[in-house]
Amino acid sequence: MTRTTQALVVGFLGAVLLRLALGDGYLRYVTDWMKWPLIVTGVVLLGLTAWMLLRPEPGDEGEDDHEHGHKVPAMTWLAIVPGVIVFVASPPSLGAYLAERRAGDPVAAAPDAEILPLPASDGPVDVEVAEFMWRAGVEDGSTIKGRDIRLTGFVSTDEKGNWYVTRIAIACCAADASASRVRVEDYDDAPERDAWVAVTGRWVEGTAPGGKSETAIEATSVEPREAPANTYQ
Amino acid sequence: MSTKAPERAAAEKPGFQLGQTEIVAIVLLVVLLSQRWLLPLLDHDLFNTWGTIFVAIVVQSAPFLLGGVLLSALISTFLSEKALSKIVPKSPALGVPVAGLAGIGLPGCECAAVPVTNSLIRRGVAPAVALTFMLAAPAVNPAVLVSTAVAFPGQPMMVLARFMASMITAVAVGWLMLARGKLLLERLTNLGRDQHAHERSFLGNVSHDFLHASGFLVLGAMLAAAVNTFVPRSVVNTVAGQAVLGILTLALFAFIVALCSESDAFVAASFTAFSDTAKLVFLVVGPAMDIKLASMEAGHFGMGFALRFVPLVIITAVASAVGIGWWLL
Repeated sequence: MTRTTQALVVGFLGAVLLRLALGDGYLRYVTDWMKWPLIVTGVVLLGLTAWMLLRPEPGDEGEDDHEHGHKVPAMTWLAIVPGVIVFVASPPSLGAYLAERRAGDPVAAAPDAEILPLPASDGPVDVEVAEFMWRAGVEDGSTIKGRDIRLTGFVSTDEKGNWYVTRIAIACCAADASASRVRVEDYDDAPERDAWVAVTGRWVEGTAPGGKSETAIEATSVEPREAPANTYQ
Repeated sequence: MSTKAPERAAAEKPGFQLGQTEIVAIVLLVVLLSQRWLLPLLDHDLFNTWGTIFVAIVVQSAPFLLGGVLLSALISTFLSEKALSKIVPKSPALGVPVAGLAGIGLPGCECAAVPVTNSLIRRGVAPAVALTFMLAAPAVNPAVLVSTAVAFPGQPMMVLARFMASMITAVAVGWLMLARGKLLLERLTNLGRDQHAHERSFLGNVSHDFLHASGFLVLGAMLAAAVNTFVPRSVVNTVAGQAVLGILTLALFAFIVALCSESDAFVAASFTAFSDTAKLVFLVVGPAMDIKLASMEAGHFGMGFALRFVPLVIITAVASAVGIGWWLL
């Protein structure tokens, strides 16, 4: 790999990271606190590229002590791949496909702290899908029993024809994604897979994670929603 | 030597060098322009999921890798062997536990540790000491311990067990290599001695190290994303009930999914069906050794070294985690 090519490889990676971080693109892959580290990384890599192009140090690019005479390992070519994939395929946020594959996985346990009651409200209360699930599991679901609740998420399905309001949570990056989903009952007109919806309704008593029947909500209304910039929790 | 070699290289393939840069530039340009036509062809759930996870691992690791490379270039360029030898104890046997404790101070991902270790060896630190630091740093730093505490609410013993088992793994591997791995260590010393490192400027070292590490990181990320996408978690869960099989499965799983050490505790916590000891094995093996690290280590230290070092680390990590788990959990 020539020094100019090396510079191009580094610069391409830097440009891709910068492009992802300056838009909302990075939110498809990592959490929002990565924005500034990514911008700094992109800028440093582009600066490094400029330095490599302007100051080709011939004494430096010679041989690395490896006998095969490559200046950098052939594996360095792979450094182009992430950028190519981002530009060509632009992999979207994880969605229904992953949620359906991970559906059987155990979900996170309820937080250890005391479970607070939902705020009093005349209309429906917004609850996160994962929170709804653990609330259903503790104290026989007494904190959500009989309350009008609104869950927001995307649509995933199963082979029996049920559909679910679904969210994916990531702790660090998309590699550690876990899905939580709540079956929507009494609403046969299922929206399209991966479409974002707000489901208003009431908890189906007795349903809980790990119980006889998976957590379910009896829907009174289902409204389409715009997908948020950050689809993860 | 340093003036002759490039001349020879340039004389051998003058035309090729020009062509290569142009080809890469053209390919990159085509990629940018062809986006619209290629996109429908690749729009498949399985490929997309793999792509998302692969890009996610690379994007998450890149700042940590660059940080590690900057630190390693600082060591290579500015830290003299004399100064380092004052910090690191003369006897490697004593240096190993000191390196383990020093690992607490580098709150980075495991990807940062490999180039830093390489630069330490370059600057004359005994390889066993540097490798101990490499194993300890991603596992025992405060960021990892805090995330473990968050992922296991109400189980402070898990944090303590993770710290102890990881520290024991790092120190034990260092001592084992001192006791039994003389030949391996010598090879590493020769391989790691990069006489040019001190001649290069700071930025020269940064670009050199970054180019050396990035390809192997990407390879590891590709493999890890493939496992993550194509192997359903339910396969892993089927063996949860069996003690021994559960431990071995989570050890293997930690190796092949290659999660960041800052987030693996959240994944470990979701293996609710497994015993706490099996979860601890997952947390101890992952930061010490995974497919991404094995790939980077093969790139930095040579394939022959990686083939021996990788199993040694995994076996030590499993043994240490099982011992600590049996005692504490």
